[in-house]
Amino acid sequence: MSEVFAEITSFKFRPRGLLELLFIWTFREGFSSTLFHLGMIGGILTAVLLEFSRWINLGWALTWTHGLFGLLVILGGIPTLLKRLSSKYSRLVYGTMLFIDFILLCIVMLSGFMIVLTTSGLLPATPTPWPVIHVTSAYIWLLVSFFGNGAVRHAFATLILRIKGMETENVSLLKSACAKCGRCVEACVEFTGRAVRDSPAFKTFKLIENYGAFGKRPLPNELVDMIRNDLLTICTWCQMCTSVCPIAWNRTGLIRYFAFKNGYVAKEYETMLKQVYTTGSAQPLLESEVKRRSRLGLPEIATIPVKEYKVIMDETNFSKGAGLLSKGDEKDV
Amino acid sequence: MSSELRYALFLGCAVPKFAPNLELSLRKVLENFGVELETLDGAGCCGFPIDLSTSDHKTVYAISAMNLALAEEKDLDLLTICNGCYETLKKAEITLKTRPKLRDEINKVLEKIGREYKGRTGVKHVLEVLWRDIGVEKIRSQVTNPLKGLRIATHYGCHLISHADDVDKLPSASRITGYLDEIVSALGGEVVEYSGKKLCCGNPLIIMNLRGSLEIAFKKLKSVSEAKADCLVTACSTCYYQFDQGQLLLRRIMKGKEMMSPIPILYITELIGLSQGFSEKDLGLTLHRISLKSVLGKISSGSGGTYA
Repeated sequence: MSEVFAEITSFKFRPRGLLELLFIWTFREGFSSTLFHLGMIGGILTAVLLEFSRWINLGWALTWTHGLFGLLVILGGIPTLLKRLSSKYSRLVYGTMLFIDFILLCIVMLSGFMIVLTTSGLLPATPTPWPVIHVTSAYIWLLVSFFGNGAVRHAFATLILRIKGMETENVSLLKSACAKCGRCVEACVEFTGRAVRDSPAFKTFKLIENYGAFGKRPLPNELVDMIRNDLLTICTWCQMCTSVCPIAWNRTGLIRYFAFKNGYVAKEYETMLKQVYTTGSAQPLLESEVKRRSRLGLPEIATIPVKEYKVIMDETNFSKGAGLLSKGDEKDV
Repeated sequence: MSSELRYALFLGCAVPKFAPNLELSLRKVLENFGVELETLDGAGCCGFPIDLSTSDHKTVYAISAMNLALAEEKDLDLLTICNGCYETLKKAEITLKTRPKLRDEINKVLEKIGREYKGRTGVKHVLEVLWRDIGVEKIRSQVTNPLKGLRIATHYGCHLISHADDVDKLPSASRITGYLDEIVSALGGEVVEYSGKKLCCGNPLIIMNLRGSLEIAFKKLKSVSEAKADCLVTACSTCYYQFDQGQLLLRRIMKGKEMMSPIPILYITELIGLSQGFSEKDLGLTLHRISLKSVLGKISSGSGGTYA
């Protein structure tokens, strides 16, 4: 109970830390996910050391540690995958790469398991193809997963994102770091009450998938239409998608920002922005409303320092970017 | 202790225009608790409209920081009753407090208007002040007119909870329980659970898609009506008038379609005010678009009992 504000100041807008992601956020998906991530990180790190041990012998303990991490991957990975498959939200967003990752990992895991059986003496230690299969498939998986936007790229992208902070405008980095868990869509459905495929979170997910680069200026009409239909006219800006996202990616904000940077601001917002620019208030008071306040016995509202708003919005180049400068205004500035 | 509670009241753009009654109830109720409110000269827009339309962070942070700097000069925390203002200002507060480089950059912009935000004070939501600074026990002790028998549905508003850790535990059903529900219970009201508790009020969409925005509000109100609640209590001024005024607009839009009976909407300080025995006129409740007769009737008929 009463946790609404409990941690509001701790996690809120800062990029989530690596340990926090590894233990808290994976745990929210389930303990199996935490095991899987730990196993993966440990497995890859020990594999790198094992590669070195071709030249420097690091002892048998390393091999067994590597095997143990592999076991964590199997124990955690299977329930995690099943959970993903059974969640209708994550089924919508994960794509084919999950399956390619899964199949390649299965080969790595199976061959690894066979190596364990042979080295422990449960299977005859005659020359077996398993070590070669294990190493080759692992390398293939690393390459495919990295270049094919799979799990390995997700790991690297998350790492870079932590170092760079969340203010990045690098869409491909954010896309790679996205864990494709579908929590944004789930939250969106709950908070906007829309059908899954009509939800702004899902539509903007698809928009970013299909339209990787928003760099063209001016934005093509087709993209403007998509931004209007898939985002601006349906998204309530409740920010729940950002709130539940493991990497705290404000996707709906990023699309708005890109549109603005490339010179597109929906004309419906024009009056509101102009009012902020010229009066310092999005809803300036009418004479009758001022009188109503005094009838209620409320204190007078001090005049808003209009000039300060103008100066700030000119200084950040906002007024120019949003097309707020009329000829008269330009003289003032 | 009570005299130590001082805040700079940040009204934002919409409250003075659409809902001066909320400010009235806020002032009366907080005064009763010994809270001092200072007016903030020179405050205006919080930056939310810019965030909503363009998400141009630098401008939003600069405008928010300007407002935060005004309160900082008085060495006070800002107090807001609008969730949109709260989130925008809180975002700026936390970002600028934790990222000194960005703060320097924003302060360079503020230098042009002769202000600086050092990150000493911040922003508080009225619910936070009521629950944490005043305390549920004190609120309970001042109830003279317990809201016995009143079935109350609560609505927090997305921007209050969107980044609170509580919601991150989705999908484990309705986790949004907390301050508001506790205060309502302390006033003697019965908190009603309803299916659409998480639903947004839809207000930020109103500029781009009036119909779509009202349809979301309708879904929420319908589920409140199905739960047989007497009224809906919000912690956000924007949600308040989206539901209050929205019901009138909805009637026009949904012509010929099935409509539920009107649901009275109350702001949390109005509800506290009623429980403290303030009259309809004291709290400016006549400004409500949806009649509060049914709620006021229930409160007066249920009153008179002592409340432990």
